[in-house]
Amino acid sequence: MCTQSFKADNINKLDNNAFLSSSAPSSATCLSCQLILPTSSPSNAIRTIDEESHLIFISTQYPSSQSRYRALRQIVMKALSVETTHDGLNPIMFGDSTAGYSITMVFKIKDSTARGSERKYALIITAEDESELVHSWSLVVENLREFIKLIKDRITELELSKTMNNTELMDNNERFYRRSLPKSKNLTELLEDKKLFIKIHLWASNLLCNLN
Amino acid sequence: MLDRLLNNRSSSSSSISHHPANSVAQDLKMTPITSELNSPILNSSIPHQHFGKYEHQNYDDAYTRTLLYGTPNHLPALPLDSNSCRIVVYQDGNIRSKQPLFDSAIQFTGSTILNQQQQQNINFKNLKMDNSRYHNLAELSDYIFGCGVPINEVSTSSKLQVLPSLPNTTNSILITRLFSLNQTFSNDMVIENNNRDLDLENVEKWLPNPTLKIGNPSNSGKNCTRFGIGIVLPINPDLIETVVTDNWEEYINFITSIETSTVRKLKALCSTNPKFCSNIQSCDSNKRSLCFPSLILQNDHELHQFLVGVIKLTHSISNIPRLLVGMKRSNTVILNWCHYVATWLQLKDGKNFGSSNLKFLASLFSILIPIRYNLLFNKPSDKKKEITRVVIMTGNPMVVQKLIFIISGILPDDVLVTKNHAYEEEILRSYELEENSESSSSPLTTMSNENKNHKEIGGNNNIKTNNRNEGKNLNLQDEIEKVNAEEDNDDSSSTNTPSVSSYSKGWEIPKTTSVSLATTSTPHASLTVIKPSSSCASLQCLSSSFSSSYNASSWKNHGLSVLEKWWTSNNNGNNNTNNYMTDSFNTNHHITNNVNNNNSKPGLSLSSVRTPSPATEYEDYSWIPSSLSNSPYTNHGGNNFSNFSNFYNNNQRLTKTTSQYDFSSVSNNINSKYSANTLSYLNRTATTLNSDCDNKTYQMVRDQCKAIMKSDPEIYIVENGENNNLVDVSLEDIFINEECKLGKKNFNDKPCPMSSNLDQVVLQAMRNDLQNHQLLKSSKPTTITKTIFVSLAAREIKEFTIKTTGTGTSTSTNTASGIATASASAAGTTTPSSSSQHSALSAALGRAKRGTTASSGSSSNGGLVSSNPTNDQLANHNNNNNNYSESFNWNLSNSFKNVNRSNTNLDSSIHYSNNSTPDPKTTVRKLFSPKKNCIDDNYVLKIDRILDKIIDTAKKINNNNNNNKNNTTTTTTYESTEQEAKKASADLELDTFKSIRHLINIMFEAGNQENTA
Repeated sequence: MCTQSFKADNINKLDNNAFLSSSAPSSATCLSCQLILPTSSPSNAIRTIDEESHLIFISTQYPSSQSRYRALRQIVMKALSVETTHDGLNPIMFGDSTAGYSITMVFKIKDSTARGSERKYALIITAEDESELVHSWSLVVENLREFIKLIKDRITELELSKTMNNTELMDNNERFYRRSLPKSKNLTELLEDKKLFIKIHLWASNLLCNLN
Repeated sequence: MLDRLLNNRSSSSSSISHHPANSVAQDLKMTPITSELNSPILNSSIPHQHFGKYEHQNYDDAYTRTLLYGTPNHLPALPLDSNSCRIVVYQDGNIRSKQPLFDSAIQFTGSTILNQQQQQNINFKNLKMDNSRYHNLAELSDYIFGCGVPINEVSTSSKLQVLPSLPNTTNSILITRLFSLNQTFSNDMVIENNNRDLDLENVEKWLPNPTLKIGNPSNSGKNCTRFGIGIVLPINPDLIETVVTDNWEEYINFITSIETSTVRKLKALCSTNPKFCSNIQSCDSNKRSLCFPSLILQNDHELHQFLVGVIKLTHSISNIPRLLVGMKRSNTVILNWCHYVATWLQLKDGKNFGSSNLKFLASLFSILIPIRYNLLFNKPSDKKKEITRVVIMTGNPMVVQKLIFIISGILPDDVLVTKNHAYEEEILRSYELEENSESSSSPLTTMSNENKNHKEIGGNNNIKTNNRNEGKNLNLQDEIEKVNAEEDNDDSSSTNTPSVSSYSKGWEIPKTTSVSLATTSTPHASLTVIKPSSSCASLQCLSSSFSSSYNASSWKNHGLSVLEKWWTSNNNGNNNTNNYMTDSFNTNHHITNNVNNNNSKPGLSLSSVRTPSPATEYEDYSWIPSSLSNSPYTNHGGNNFSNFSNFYNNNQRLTKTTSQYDFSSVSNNINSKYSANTLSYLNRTATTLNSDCDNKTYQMVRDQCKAIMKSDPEIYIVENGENNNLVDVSLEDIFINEECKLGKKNFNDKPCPMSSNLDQVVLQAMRNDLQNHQLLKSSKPTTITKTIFVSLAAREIKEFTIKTTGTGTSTSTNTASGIATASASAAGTTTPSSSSQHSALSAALGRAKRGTTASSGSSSNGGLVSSNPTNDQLANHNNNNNNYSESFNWNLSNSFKNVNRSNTNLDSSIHYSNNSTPDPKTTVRKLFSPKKNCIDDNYVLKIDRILDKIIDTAKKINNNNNNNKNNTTTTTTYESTEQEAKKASADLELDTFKSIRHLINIMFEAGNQENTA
């Protein structure tokens, strides 16, 4: 999911479809990567309007433009597969003049059905201007840390409840006999929160709003 | 006074414990931490030093600290273990091997100097590295280049991450720079011209904007070898914002310097040994074009110096205290400011001595006021073209601090406090405390409740009508006209500056025995009774005006022992006849050779420890009023003239007790409510205020995140065709009872390091300005950097200007070095006075570098400006250029308009241009000197008049307090009369402060008019 902020004046001149159609067809993405919204009819985007700052925050599966998509793809790959930190609690800032500059924090969620029994996610704040991003370090990092902590707390809470209900035992057997292959699982399913992406959108919008 | 003395004792004893004599000797053995205004000078050969030893050495006393920094406490220094700092240069040979070319952590166990042949065959068994302090090479290369999926990148990238802790070091920070090179070494600095307007066309574009715009290799990455430079700083991650991210431009600039140096060296290696790039011949796409042996640069001296540089840079950034700006909000500060101005005018400028008035301060104000709004604000996204720096050079750190305090009064604090919430909150809280303390100790009201008091005592307007009228009926335009009219009527001309050659007499400081003067004059308004007297003793007298004591132990007690030692050794080497500093430090810590021992009273040695000895001002401007008989002060104490002559002739030294201007009298006097002791102290560090704003901000972030996660947001579906629905959700539903906006703390004005070779450093800083400015703001074709160079000893103000008109869109590094060469030659020929100053002290008020000291973010408004009396030069006593640099940074940027006005002396302008690069031009112009004033006389006179008025107005407060004191002693029976008198007094005081502020505003307004004229 990618949340972007736009000036209201500019966004009004653009066709909403430019953003809405930026989402890839559901068949192109696996369940793990899909943006799932709690609506009965298919929806592709989440929008929040901030009247005070005249900013509009739109979250979609992918960025709206090709250049941003290309940059974000590279950033995501670096954040999840290249850059390394000694633990999951520390953020990392990296960037260049082609992909932009990012502060990322990677976190893992335990899932017995996943390969390696964990799933890796990253919260990434990307900006065009290196200086402005770096100077916002504390605000960004505090937001990242806190939101990841809340997600992990939620997972811990669910694990506890599963342990109480002994549902973990069956999973262990399945894994031990290797009967089940690793399967795709969406974050909403892991956290058992259908509105999770709405919340992530709100969190990102709030952060972008504060940064502006 | 007692308070101050007691404080002195306590502080001195603590200083003694910090600086025993043996530690001084230890310190002196250390390599000087010299550094540049912008980037560190790399002139030390010892990479690892414990720089934290300097943290206790402050040249300012508690009183000055309170005025300048808002706290009397020594500001804690950053706990930086310089031994754990590290610089590495890696080469990404291929997927599996990443060779270090240079690693400051590695030490050879065998021969320390290897020739090139040996370097190519390094036996790694001979390498030694403390693994408990430094991360191993493989681990560090993973952090620098990344691990896991190999990617092929060619663009220059930067990285910031936290390293894990090691047994002998806590967590550390890694700043990484990655760049690619091919066999052509074509990593040119390409100036990109990004139009970053967020218009409709660019809404969809992605235009990254690096801190320094250094382009990619022209050869699109084919056969490029990737190199990585890493700087490891042993800094707690909690301090990453204070040290690193707030100063990101500094570090990026620094690491770019390392990159430039590395590329140059690798290129030189390739030229001497072609086999390092022999892989080009193979045309194998999998092979790198460049492949250097491991540790090929290990013995490179310059890279080792960079390590010293980064330590100095970090220390400068973290430990130079930022100056507190916000004078006009506090009555105490404003009155202190008036006192300092008055003292300066009388003692340093020779005010009230007829034609001998230098009008130096007025001239300096006339230069700085028009640019005062440009002094503080700077941020990376600024598009300003001009960078301005102010450098003050004198022989006494105390004097320059007084001048810094005076200049801080013209800084635009109103803009600061309105834009910086954290700062405003803290300042307001501070002054509220001040108000409370004052109101509890005195019935008189203070500035903070002006309006309230004005209503309460409105019926007493008839009391002291003259003063009230002068205070209340001030109209800005009227006042300006009034000042102008007075100027017209004034026969004295500022052009009659004294001739240095004719000076034969100095000043006399009245002794404290003149009781009548002490009771009628105000310490703030400085009704001084300085008598023209004999020759060079004036210098000591001037020093004594700032509460000086001659006793050498006072230096030591204030942690100045190293400075004292430096002075001592310095003076020994130069045999200056006017120099009273001797080599007696090692024996009894007294400066006694030229000092009458009668004055070496042990009792004073501990108590009068505020400021350095008057002897330290030996190089101050030695001027004498041309007409003694015209002195208005002759009638006040003519007998003091002879007393002083005798005093000087007997080689006696002035002590605090003989000083008319001893500030300590303030605290013990009726004006104690306006002394610095009554100021509320800010809880701060060297660079930030320890306010609750941070905690509140973080708590708010946590609360907001929790609110979002625990909420059940309502969503509204906006149908937009089939399968394209839009979900609307509002933040307000969640934050209905919470603040949505967060405040950010920002104190981002950066310090600038120091150097022993000031003029060279200034010009180097200016050259860096140009280079970085071009890299930062490439869209601007013309770049101007200016430095206002103030030499207090010679009473000269010079202006250095380097201007370049960019003709192309790219500037190569070679071109930049060409600029450097040209400018360096200019410095050597045009500023001999500064470099020849004996034991000069310099203070750099400066925007260090456009690109390197820019403040953070859009809301970055420096509430604090750095000011640092550093000790970096102290161990430099063997150097002929014994300049002590005190440097601090006001982000002096942008325009320097109309400073050289109608009387600009073009004859004194010297233009330099480089034939190879005709664009950059260095101009050195003398704006002010005792003989010649190139500033608009009318404007200087106007400023001078206004300063006089400010001081005169300030006197009323003291007179009022005097009257109050008398009243309280006499009117004890009639309470109602007493109440009325108090109200009237408060009313008068209120108006007086209003008048002072109004006059200051008039002065600023005059500057604005000059600026727009």
